[in-house]
Amino acid sequence: MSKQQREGMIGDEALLEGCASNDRTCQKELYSRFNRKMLMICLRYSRTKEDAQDILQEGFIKVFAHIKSFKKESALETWMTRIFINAALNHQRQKLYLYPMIDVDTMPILESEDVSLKEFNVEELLVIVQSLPDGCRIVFNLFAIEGYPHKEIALMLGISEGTSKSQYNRARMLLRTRLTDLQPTYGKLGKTPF
Amino acid sequence: MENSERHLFEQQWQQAFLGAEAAAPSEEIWLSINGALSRTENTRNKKRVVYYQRLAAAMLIISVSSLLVVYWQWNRSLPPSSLSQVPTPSQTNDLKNSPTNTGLLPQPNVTNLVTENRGAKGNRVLIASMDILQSQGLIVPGEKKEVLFTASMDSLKGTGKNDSVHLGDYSILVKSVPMTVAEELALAGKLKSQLEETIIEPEKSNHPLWASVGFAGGSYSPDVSSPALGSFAALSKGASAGSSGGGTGGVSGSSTASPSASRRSSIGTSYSFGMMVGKQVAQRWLVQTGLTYWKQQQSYESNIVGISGQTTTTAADFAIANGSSYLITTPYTLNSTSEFISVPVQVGYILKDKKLGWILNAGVAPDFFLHNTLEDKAGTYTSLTQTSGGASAFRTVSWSGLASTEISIRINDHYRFALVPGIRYSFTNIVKDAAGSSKPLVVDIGFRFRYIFK
Repeated sequence: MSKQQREGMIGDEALLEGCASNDRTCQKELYSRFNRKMLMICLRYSRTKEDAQDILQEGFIKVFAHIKSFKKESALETWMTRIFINAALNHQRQKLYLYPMIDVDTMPILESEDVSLKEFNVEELLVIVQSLPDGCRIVFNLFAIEGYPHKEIALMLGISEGTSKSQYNRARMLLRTRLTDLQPTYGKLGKTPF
Repeated sequence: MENSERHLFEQQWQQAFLGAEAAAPSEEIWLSINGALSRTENTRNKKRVVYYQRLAAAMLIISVSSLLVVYWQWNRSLPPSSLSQVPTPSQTNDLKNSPTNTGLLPQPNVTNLVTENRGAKGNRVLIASMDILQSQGLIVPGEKKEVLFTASMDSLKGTGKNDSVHLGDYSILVKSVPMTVAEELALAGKLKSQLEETIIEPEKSNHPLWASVGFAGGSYSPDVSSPALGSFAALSKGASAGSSGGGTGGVSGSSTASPSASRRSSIGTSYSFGMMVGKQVAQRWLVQTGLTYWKQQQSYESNIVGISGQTTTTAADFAIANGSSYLITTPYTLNSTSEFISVPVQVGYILKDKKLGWILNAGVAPDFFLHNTLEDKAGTYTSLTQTSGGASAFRTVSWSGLASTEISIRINDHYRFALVPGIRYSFTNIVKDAAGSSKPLVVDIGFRFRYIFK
């Protein structure tokens, strides 16, 4: 049996215990299991791949440092996702400090104006999300994808609830514009599949 | 309201990224994480080592302080003039004529007769107290009577003078001012009978023969220097090329490689456990020997790997000194574990042998090398294990000097529990000359549980 096969057979319990006792084989196994999913989260919050890799590294170090405190009340992936979101927010905090989010004027968007995402693959959507301004991108990720309410986002980012909402609306408007540009059939004719 | 905000738009985005995975990140990310974890562990280990060092230092300070206090009190308890300056009969007469006699005995010895008097033979203890003497009517406060103890008043023996009482090796000089010779003799007689009752034999050796088991942990400083480091450039040119292994971008014989083949951290950890037997060979001397298993661990970053056929293995700088093939690779964390069996032979000096015991030990130990394992913590490279023998970089036997202090407490007649801070220094090289030099220093603190045969 090869080493890789052996590693693949490590159970979740043994994996957690091994990571908690700083067993490097288990730590690498955990990294191998989740690095692609966590990197996708990091990419969603980052403008560049390099930033995402920094967050990924920082996130895994935090996971290994705090894995003893994982109470198994939620799934490991859920717990890790929260850590990586926090790592991403910490990483972006400096930018947010330099360029604080403010209320932005947006045109109200009607639900019927949204375009379908079915025509796009994940990589294309990721590029579109990454193209958003920092503040909009973070609020969009937290609200639309992670499902946090604006009140909680406001607390997490130290902004007002109104700012969170206006940033989100702006993100939505920008996304619609970019999706429409990439989807001329629907965008130009103003058609929606809904 | 929040739920109503989540329309089809958000649901689409959630669905789009649900379980989405990016392309696998590059191997450098894991190497960076691995390096950061190793640094954290090293920091943690160093803190632990510093803790042990401080504990050992504190124990040594306490031991030395205790020694000084005990020594000072022991000196203080002896009547200095009575031990060193035995009054001659003529001096005794002078004492009789002295109105106060304060010149012969310091005040504390006059008023406190609780005395542990270890004479030249040191095997008898006289204990009396002013309370007893007063209760027996031997001493009446205010009468200015004095009782002099001496450990070596042999000069008074057989002098025929009536101002001393002889008790074995000791003489007790009784003086009363004013007091007639007859009164003095009577007092001396009473005192003699009183003191004879209070003479106790010293405790015989508490542990003529004993066996103990113990465990110790502490810091390990390998004190390494290696010719492989200095001649690395030459070695790298002669090294054979091969697989870099694990996609770490290894190069063979690269002129751009760091001249340092590996970087070794200065401190590791040391653990040992073993059994000892000992025997008290004189009143204050003992010898002990036994068998100890030693394990020394150290983590450091290395940028070399050995080549064995198609396999890349971990390698230490001294492990490549014999000219075996190797590659330079990106730094990785290496865990080096060495194991020895040691046969310490120590001589101990007993400073205190009461309920609280205190022994100073020193000795030597031949250390028999068992094996050394170099393990890549990330598991990228195959571990390398060296045993003793012709092909090994390690000497089969090396010698260490040992010094320790053992502070013990008596649990009962058969058992003692001891705390043993100590140091161990290899005064011979543990690796072969061709592989460089390593003379480890271990500072540790141990616990020892002793069974005394009676």
